Amino acid sequence: MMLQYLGAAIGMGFASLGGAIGIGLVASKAIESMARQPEQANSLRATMFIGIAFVEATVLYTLVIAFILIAK
Amino acid sequence: MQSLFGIIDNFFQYVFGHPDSLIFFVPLLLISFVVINRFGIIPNKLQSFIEVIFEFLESQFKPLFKEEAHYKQWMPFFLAIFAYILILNMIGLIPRLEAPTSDIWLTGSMALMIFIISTFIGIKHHGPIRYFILLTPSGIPSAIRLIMFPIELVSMLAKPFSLAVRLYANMFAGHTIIKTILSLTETFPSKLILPLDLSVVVVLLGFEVFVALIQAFIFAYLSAIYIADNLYMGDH
Repeated sequence: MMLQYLGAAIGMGFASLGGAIGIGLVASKAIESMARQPEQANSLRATMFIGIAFVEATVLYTLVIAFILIAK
Repeated sequence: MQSLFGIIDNFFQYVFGHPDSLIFFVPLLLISFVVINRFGIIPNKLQSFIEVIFEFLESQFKPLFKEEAHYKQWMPFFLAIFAYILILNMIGLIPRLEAPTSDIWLTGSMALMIFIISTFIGIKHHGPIRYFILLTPSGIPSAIRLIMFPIELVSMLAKPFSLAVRLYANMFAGHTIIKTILSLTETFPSKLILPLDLSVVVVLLGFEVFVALIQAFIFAYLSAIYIADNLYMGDH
């Protein structure tokens, strides 16, 4: 059976869906606050990138699982 | 004891048997000596660039520590972690080389080191019994604290795991994506994909520089948070 490929692909699809929604939320809120307080833009940008990296990490956990599934 | 000596023996055999994994640090050390010797009160170009990075790190790390002495004591450690992981991440950007951080054992042992240090600091500052009592929040009934204790224990053990997998997965994924896109040139029927492929890879490599910086910062920042958490347990 080649079901592990299917599992890896479906899991990766859902994970990137969640990650995209998360990164979108983080970026939209950051842009909102930057427009509201332009003098805080630099510190907000740094915090936004840290937040995006955290959201991205959860997607990459799934990527690791997908690779484990494929390698089996 | 036999196995312990075996592990140490294996370690030294590995370190001296694989000089290629250490050889990057020889030119880096020489360059850093030259760079540091030129530092002065009036900054030159390279010094002001390094000072920008340092000032950013200082602005992020300083609020974590409540006492100036703790900050002075711990900041060199986090700067060393940041520089070390940044260099290891950047090695992966050189063609034909793998980033050492795209190996779960390296990131795992670094995360284990952070875990041992933070637990040791917590036990040293609060005592072994008080440390485990302080793991659960105060001001709630003791029965609930008893139920919460195993959950807090799991979350304590999950921290180094997520620290290791985050760094490993980020470096590994970037490398794999670049490899996959480059392999399109072999599987695609026409050679017309080559310029498109190369331009995508160049953009991705630029993105990888950014990811290397961010991940090095996040590793250092999170380890600072864990250590500061265990330093100031209970008084928040």
